Amino acid sequence: MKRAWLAPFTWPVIVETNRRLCQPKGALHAPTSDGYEPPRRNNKPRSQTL
Amino acid sequence: MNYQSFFKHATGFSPYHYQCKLACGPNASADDAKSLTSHNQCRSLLINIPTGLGKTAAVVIAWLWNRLTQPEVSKPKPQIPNPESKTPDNNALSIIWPRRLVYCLPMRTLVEQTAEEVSKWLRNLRDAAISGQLDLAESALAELLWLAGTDGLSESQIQKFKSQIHAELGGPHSPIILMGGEELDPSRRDWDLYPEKPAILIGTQDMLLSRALNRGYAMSRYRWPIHFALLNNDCLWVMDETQLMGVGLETSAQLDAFRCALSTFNACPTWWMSATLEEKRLETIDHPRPANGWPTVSLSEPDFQMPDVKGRLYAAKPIKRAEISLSSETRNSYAAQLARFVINHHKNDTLTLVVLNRVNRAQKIYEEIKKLKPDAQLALIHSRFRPPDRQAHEAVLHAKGSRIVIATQAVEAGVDVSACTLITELAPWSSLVQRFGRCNRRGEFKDGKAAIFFVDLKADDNEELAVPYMAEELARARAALEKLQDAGPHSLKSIQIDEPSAIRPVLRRKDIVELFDTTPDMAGYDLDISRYIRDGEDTDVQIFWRDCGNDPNQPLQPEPVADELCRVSLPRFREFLSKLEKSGDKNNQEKITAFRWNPLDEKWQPATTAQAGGTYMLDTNAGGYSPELGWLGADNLGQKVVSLAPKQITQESGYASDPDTFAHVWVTLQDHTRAVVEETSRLIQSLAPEFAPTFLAAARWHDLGKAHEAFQKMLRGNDPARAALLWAKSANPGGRCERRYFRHELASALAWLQVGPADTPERDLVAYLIAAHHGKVRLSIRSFPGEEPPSDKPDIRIARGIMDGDTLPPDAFVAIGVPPPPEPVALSLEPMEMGQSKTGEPSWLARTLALRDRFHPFRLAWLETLLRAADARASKLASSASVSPAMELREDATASSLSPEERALIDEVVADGLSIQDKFRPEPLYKKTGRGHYQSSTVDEINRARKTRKKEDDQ
Repeated sequence: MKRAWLAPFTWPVIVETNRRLCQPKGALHAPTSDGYEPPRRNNKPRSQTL
Repeated sequence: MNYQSFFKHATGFSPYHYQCKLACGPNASADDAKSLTSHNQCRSLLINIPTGLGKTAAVVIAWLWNRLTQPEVSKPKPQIPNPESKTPDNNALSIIWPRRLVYCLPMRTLVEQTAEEVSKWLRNLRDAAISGQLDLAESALAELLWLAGTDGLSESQIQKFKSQIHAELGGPHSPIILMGGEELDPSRRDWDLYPEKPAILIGTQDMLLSRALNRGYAMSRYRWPIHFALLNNDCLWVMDETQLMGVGLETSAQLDAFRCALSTFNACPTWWMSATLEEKRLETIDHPRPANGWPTVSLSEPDFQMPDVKGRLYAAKPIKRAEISLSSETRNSYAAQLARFVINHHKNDTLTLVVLNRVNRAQKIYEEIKKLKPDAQLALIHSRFRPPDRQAHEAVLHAKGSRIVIATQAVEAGVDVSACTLITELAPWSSLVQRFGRCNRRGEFKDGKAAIFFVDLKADDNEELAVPYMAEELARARAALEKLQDAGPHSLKSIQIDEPSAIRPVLRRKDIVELFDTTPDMAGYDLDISRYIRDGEDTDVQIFWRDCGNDPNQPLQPEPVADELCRVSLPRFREFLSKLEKSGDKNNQEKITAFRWNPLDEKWQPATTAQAGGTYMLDTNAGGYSPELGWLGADNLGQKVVSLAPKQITQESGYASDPDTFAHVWVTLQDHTRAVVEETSRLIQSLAPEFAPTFLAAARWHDLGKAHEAFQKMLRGNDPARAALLWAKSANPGGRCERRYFRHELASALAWLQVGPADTPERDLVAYLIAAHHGKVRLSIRSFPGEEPPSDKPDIRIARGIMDGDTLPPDAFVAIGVPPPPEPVALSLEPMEMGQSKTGEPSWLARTLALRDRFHPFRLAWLETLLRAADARASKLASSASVSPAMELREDATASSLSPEERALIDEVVADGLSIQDKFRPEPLYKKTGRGHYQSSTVDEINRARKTRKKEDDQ
């Protein structure tokens, strides 16, 4: 079954989730060399199987 | 490459012989190429050269030559000596040329002119080095690129020299102009955060000497010690146009003596320059004349043979007495008469320069000439303008064609103009010589075309006409002029006038030692240093205008920028304030008043009196100023002034505030401590490696006090989610601590004294460096007025928001990277008590005075500055970390744009994630690359794992 399972995870949701997960461990919440741009570009709702 | 080519690349001209000697040593000659490859010793000396013969270029290019081209192998690394030993006498030979060139001028008009020339020379040298015409070592090229910046370079040039170019700031870092007001150019504003870098500072004697005395005018009082340190260590001071400096000259001599006696980091000599140098005035009580006199650079026979020099020295300047004069009888018609005289003697297509002794006379004559000749290209030059208005007039002065310029003594010194006709009021002889230098400067007007007229002031019967001079000075000058038919330099050589010595206040050693302490007295006042900077009544304040009505705290007016500030003489401003107050009473209107910043209460408050060196704000409706005429004071009361408040602004600093703490980014105490330790380590290795253990301890402990609950509450604001961590910096827009006057650095220092490792070298120095790292807790700890203990603990000690028994949690020690105590540390304010503690420990004051006396004020301030610089630089890096808009996370914008459904989703995911987070590594996984992003070690690990897996699959 194909659905846009990740549609609710908009980019602002992902960023805010990341920020709150970084906090308790004191991780610096900032762009990394290859951990930011590629996901941001690819973050488009699309139908997928689970 | 030799000095001749170096000088020519910079200025476009070949050097004179005396310029070669200054740069390459006494045996150098412009005709001997081999002698122009050597370098000179750096020591205090006198430079006695007539006007118009390149003194500015001589000193600046000589400094650049010796800083940039001295071979590395012969340049020993400057060491900070043991506290008990002294640095070499500034008259002894030093081959280590100082990092900072401090160029001190008597007035603002010269500062901007000098700065323009220096900028041009730096760019020229940079371009020559980049194109391969100048062969510089890599370290020298890096220094030059730091000074000159990369403006105007192509992208490919920048890429080619990237390793030498500082990654963060591409703009020119010099010259730095110190004239008062906030510096808006970011690459120059923070010059004081880079003590290891070269710098050229150009400023007025008010700005520079006040900083050298630890009471910098027009700057935050909490940064005073930084400028005190950087201007008294590792500097070459150049005092130019000393004849106009008044007591500033004696003060500079005393400072030269104290820098030897009290020792500095690297030598700190002084060069005194003038066409009319009064050597005798340098013989002060602590600065005696050496047995063979001070080393002096002056013109020699080979210089006199150069056509350029000959042309200037033998320029014809016939001089006559003008038919008009100023006396008690003529004072009412004087302006009109002089205006007509000027117009009658002005020659078309040339510059006529009129020099008056007082600003108000210059303003009146300007207005009269404008009435008589409205089509004339006219300018008014004096020191009582805001910079943009003055620059508009100066543009006319430096333009071509027919111009009439009315000026005051502001044009006496160094201004590079050449008038065909000079009309000057009678003045003291040394002033007249300087004024004559502005006429036919290069000898370009031949056949008697140039002319000088002097206007007599009959001051013998009315001394008020002589002001700002004395009637006796004018009488001596008049007597000399009676015999004179030509006022060219060659004709003036034979005239010698002995002015009687003036009695001036002399800065003594105990004064400079006491000035180290920046604590105001119990009434809130500071030691007044104005008497060491300007003579008697010749003291100034700075004024700026804002649309603030009668309440500049609603909204809070920010600090002024340089372009807003107008210098006004203190007596005239006091007169203006008095009339302003009376005008409010007279018209039954709300009084308009001046305001002064109170850093303790962090607000503007009415200023009923004015102090020398102060900065005052007036509402625009108070008047007192005209863009065309400058400061008019009471004559222009109530005439609205246009405010020049800029868009980019900085709030004035207050005692309790910490602008770097609210840094638009969340930074944990752990991360910030690590960053400061790294930055300190780099800085100390290059400047004072022997002190590394001391400084690294101070860097590690410096912000421990931020773990105090009151401070953490302030940072967190209304966000309880932040309570899980200890923060050093907050992304909130601002906040107030519930404890008034709270200073976290005091908490850090007390904790260090109580539980810091006993085997760290210089424990007291560590404590002092920690406490002083914001400039607010230094020699003494005492409560401020209004600091009261809570009513349930009336006997408890309290100071700077800290109370006996306040605790710092063990987590805080983990965060800064030291073994945590078993329990929270309870702070004790016992050190604030006088005398020894019950356990025999010295008080805070005893410790800090011992440090001051052992290291001496200049070096202790310099050590203090190093940690402050490292802390500020680490903070800047953190707040500018995420760079490109495309990559900007925009935390605040993200959080506020979420819908309730999105928030619920995030809560659920975060809860899941936190429940399993302990299964993963907790330490930060990212390393700053300085290229606007972070290198992720986790991603590296994944990539390595992929490669290993691929290899296994292939096998």
